[in-house]
Amino acid sequence: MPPSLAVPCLRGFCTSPHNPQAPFCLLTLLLPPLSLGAPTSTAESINQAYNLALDMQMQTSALLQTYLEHQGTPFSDPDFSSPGLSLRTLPSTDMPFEIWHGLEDGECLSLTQEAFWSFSQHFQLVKDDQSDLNPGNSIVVDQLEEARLKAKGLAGNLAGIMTALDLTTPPANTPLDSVPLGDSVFERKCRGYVIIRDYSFWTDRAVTFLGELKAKYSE
Amino acid sequence: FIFLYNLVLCELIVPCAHIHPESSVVQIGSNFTAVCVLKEKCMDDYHVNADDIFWKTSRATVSRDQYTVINRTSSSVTFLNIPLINVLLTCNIRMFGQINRSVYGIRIISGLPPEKPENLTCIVNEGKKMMCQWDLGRETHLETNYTLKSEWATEKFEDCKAKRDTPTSCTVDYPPVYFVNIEVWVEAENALGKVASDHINFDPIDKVKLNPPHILSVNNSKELSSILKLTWTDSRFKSFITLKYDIQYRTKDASTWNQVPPEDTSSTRSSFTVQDLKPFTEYVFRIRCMKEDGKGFWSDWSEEASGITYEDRPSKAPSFWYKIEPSHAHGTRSVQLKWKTLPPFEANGKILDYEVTLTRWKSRLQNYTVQDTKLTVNLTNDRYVATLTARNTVGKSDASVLTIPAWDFQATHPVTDLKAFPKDNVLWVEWTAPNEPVNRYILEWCVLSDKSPCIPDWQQEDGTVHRTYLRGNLVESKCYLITVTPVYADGPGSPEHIKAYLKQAAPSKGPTVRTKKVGKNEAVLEWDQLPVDVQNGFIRNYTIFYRTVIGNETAVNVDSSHTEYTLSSLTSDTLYMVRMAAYTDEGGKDGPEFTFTTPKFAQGEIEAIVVPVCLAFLLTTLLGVLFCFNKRDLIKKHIWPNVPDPSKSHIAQWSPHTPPRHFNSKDQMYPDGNFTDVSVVEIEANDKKPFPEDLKSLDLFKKEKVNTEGHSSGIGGSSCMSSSRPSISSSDENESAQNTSSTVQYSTVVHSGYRHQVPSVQVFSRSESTQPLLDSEERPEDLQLADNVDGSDSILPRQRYFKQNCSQHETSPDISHFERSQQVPSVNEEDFVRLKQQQISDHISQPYGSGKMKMFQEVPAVDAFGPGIEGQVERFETVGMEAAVDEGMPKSYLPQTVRRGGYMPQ
Repeated sequence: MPPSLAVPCLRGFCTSPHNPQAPFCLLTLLLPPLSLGAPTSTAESINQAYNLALDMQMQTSALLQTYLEHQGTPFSDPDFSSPGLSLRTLPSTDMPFEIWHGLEDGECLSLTQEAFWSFSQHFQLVKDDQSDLNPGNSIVVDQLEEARLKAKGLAGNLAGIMTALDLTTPPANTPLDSVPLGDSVFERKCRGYVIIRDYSFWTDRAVTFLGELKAKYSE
Repeated sequence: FIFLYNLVLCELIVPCAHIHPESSVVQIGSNFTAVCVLKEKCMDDYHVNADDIFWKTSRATVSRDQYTVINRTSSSVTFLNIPLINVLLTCNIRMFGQINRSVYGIRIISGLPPEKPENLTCIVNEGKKMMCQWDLGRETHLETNYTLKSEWATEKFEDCKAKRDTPTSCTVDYPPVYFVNIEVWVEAENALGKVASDHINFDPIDKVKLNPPHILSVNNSKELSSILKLTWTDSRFKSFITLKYDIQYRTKDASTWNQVPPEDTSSTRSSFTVQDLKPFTEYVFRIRCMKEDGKGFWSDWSEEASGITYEDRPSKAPSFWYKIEPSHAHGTRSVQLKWKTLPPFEANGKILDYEVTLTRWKSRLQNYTVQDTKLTVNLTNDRYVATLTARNTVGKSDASVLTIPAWDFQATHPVTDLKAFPKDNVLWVEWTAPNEPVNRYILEWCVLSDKSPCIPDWQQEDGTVHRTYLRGNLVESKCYLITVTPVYADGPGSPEHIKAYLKQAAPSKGPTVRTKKVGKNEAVLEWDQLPVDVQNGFIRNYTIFYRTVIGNETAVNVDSSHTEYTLSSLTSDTLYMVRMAAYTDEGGKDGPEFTFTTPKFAQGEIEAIVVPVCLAFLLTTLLGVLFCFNKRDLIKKHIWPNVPDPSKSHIAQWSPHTPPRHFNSKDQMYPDGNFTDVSVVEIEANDKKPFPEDLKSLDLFKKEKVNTEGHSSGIGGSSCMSSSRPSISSSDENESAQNTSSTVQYSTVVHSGYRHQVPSVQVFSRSESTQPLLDSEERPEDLQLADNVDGSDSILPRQRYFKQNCSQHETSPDISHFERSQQVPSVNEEDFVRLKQQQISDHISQPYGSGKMKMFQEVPAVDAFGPGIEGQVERFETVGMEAAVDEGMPKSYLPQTVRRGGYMPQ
């Protein structure tokens, strides 16, 4: 029986003590979840989000590597780095560690959720750019699509956690503002680079944060 | 085609009518109504209305019961409970002149709405995209699309449309995102409806089938020969999900896998040490993995990897045996010690060499290190104890100990009840242990063959074993000689032997049968035992088949111990075909056919018939002879008449003065006459005594034939004197008779002439030609003198003469005969010439001279002259002379002569 059915059942049990199905509902609760539906507990949700963040983290360097390789000089040069480059529409990476660390879980969750939602939209932008710039090359596009999905998935997971923790979730369909650095090919390549670079940053941050959260909720 | 043409025409122009609905997919079992509406223009043009409408499905006109005329322009048709169809429904009008025309048509297809897809499951192969599959439900008979839909709360994924040839599965186009729950369902849709399956919501990581691990290495341990360590790499997911493993292993040659207990491998790891393995053995491993919680699927098996455990000292002492070979040296034995290589599971490593020690009673040890599996040593006749150990890099095995007894050792205590039998394609040997404690048993076996020597293979069994099978490459249809020898502490016991086959077969050749003895009604068959090489099994019995050419075949079963059999009740003088078959437990084989013929008579049967017959014949002959002998006189009288001998005529003695005619009357009375008696007297009177004295000296003769003598002296002489002339003339009627009598006279007349024989006229015929007789007649003395020196040729006739006539004269001096014989030839020659001449003339004159007579005429005549019995010859010649002289004399003499012999019975 899918756990989703257990929830209304539980509700019914709580709201109406005279529900004749009550014994079955109780039994259902006692039984381990047999199906693989949505995570039934916060800890599980956090764990799932954490695993996803880990999975994303493992692939960010490869993604960046692949992206740069396919953009030509100077991006494909070894040790290419451009730390000064930034994109206004991207989630901020400026927040000092202490401040981030001092935030409430809910706030962190919210910020992270917003960040990855944003990244998912930026990845769509990069993907479109790459489809234009490298039309027959699907490797970068496929990886960008995977990253986009994962970012969006993580945003969804985090929203689920927030829901589970009774935190307010930001509207998921926040439209992306007009993105600067979009005129020339080089600029578009730079934009892609910056997005992936900052995505990597936020992935690391999410892993750390969710690891702490997981530890907190698995007790 | 016309209809299509019309349709096209209708569309190109303006259709005359219209059907509602335009086209229809109808659910099977439902009702369907179509309405045809005519256009006014057509109605006017063709002068038709709704009553003229009729419906057709494909070629068949629909029954009018199903029509309903709604109004002047419309007609409807209704089909109830539509079956499975795919037809063209046309609206037609019947115009003036019975012209029909299709004015519109629609296609009706029936089918079913899709059922809800069931059992939707998804699988994510690591590194690939998600694939889901489901069950379709019932057949819809319509084109039905299946669409896999998936979504997140925040994202709708692209639909995955199942391909037409695989409507039960679809692989999505987006990369799988693990750790994000996804909702998936299937929608089935056709013209009759749309239905969605239950939604399933899952994290793709719970549907994953990971890539199989990759085994990096299989390592052994010098410290422990029973372990191997397996290391591998596996999925990248092991960083954040817990995996469990399934490890299997087997020895290289085995086919079944051993399983490492799952509880030992239920957590993420990258190596595992497998224990309790055999030393120096190659093992093969494989591994697979899945999520520890059991969600998802087992990965495929990894590629197999193998490793060899480290060596250990040999776990068992080798099998050890010996063979004493004949040695020429006195006081020593050549002993071949032999042993078996240890099987790998006992050798536990590579055997480097074997160590053999030999200990003689109270003497020092002899050590040998051998790499071969045999060692030949020369030993004295004493008792020895040999030990054997096998060595590998790790260590030595335990020692096998073997006692080689002294040469005069007497082996005892054999095993009993030794049996050998095939079972499950191996040859089992079973025995009962002796009462003595046995250290071990040695089994030796070899193929028995006439072509090759017995080269034994062998194996060793523990002292507790009573049943084992021969571990060798045994061949079917071969006779194995199996020897079981118990080995005691002090040496080997007595061996026991048994023969056995792994699998018997029919003999490859049949026995060759042959006959040992064939009798009239029986035959003894014999054959040789089949050579062991062609037996192919134990010969259980023989069957002899025998038949005649036309008869049925008879079969006789014979026990296998026999090599001979007697077929009885056979028919004599018959061809038999016999062949023989030998049978093992598995079948038989005929030998070549052998044929033999029974004889007509039994042995000795012919003799039994012939001998008595011969004896009877002999007896009959003997009796006949005896009878004839007894009655010889009578027979002789009938068959062999006595013929008077003219030479014995007494004419010579007659007085020349006696008138020849004196006896004429008598001649007539006795045409035949015998005067041989007279001649006898004459012959014996070879001395010069006067006749009277001669006659007197022959007392006996005289006494017997007084009458005869009297006659002859008186009458016969005169008749002889009258010579042959008269006789010829008188007996003119038969000249041959004359001849006969004249010739026979020498041999036969003498004897019987005395008594019975009838003298014939021939005597005269003979005498007529003897001219010299005249001389002798004239000078009888001279002749007699000459007779004294007559040749010995005359002996035989003379003797016969004497025997027949007068035995008394046998005493007459032979010498005189000898003397005479010398002179006679000359006389004889003359006589012979004359006689010949006469004979020739006789032949001519006498038409019937029998052969016998001729014989007498020729041969005895010559002989007769030979004797030259003085009297006879002289008388002949004398008579001849006289005959010649009296040639012209009348035949009246003859009667006298005949008369003289008148006392012949005839």
